[in-house]
Amino acid sequence: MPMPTLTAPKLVSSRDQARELTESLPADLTGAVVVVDCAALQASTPSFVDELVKVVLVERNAKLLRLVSAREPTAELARRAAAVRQVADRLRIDQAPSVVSEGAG
Amino acid sequence: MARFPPLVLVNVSRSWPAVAGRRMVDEVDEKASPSWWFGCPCRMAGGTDSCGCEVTARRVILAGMSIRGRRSLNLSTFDQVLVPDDDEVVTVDLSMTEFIDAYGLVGVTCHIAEAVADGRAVKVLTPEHDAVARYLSRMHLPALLEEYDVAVDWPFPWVGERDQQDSLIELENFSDAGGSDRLAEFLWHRLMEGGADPQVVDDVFNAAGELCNNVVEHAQSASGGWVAAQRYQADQPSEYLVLAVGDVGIGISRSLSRRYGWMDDEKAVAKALELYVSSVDDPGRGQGLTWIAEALAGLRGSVWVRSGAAARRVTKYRSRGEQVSHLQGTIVAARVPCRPGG
Repeated sequence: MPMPTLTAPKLVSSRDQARELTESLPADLTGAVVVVDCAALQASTPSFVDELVKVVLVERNAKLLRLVSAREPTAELARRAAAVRQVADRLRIDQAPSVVSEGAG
Repeated sequence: MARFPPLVLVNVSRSWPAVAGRRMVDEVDEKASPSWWFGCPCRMAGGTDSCGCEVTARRVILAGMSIRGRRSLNLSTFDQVLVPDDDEVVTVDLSMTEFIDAYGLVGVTCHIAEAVADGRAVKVLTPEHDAVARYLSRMHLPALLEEYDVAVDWPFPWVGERDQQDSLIELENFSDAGGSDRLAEFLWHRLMEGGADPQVVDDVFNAAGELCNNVVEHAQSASGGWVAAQRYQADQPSEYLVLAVGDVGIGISRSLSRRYGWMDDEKAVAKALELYVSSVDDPGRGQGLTWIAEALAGLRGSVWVRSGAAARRVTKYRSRGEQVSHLQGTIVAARVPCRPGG
């Protein structure tokens, strides 16, 4: 199922903001891949990232949540949230180029 | 305009009992208004008198805590200025104050809000030091006093708003997630403009966001919460930031007791700093406060959590709890070096 790419804003903190970001998505995401572009994202709280993982992978049961261009702090929070919610196998993180290049040799 | 006459304040030591300032309703006159319920976890969870709980619910009221004059009003000294006071009027004596930080400001604000919510009159003795009075004006304390109809013995001076925008966050009230988000974002931009270390800015943004959202989601504070921040020793290697967020809600003990059973303030504050401890039964909840303590302590900062009659200071090397004078609600503050690698 094709899904529009969601664009995370520059700064996000509350769980409400995670719900606002995903409110345009269908209630049932079974079989869908949800892509969130984090290129502009500068800072994100543990609560925001946890709520994003919860809404997309737990409540709406997406096949995959893909975070694109995520900075390491956000990526780490997402990994932790997915692990705690036992959906780590459905999280994919494509980190920001500057981070990826360090290990790309 | 004449100043109030000198106050006669009770002289107490720091070892004043943790419950100082509150008394049981059966020990006071019937005119006293009840403030909140204490002691029965079933009642806290919405139970009834017939819940069968062996713990007897007791109604307690605010008996009175005033703030006495002291030169410094900050993270280290705030609890030393709170004195039990049975006067009808809660006095906030800032007349001798020569220094007040964001924590002191939020503490004073919460104290005033608590007294007003309890229907008590409040009077504020304005700082005699002009610089302190101007600072408090700049931090918008007079606006709060006007909103709460609090008497002052001397008007606060008017100050311009343009200076120091890169080094302070004025006292702001918030009551919902939108307000909390805007404040955290505002703080991020102010710190960035001020040239603070980007890692510090991001971590302080996250801390402010989590703390403000904790107030919105868990505190049940009718008057919302307050936040203030200030950078000190700007452009020096020792430059640091103090951020404080406070509320006059139900406090950590009562919030966590809904899920974990009754616990005193000291145990509750310690437990709140554990990972995945939350009043909400949801696997991913309970990360915020733990994350703040880890992240800011990792930057060689310190975090101070004060709720009810307990407080805990967390640094990179130790976490130490202590009993303090009782104030309703919770105040969390952080002191963070702006150039931790410098």
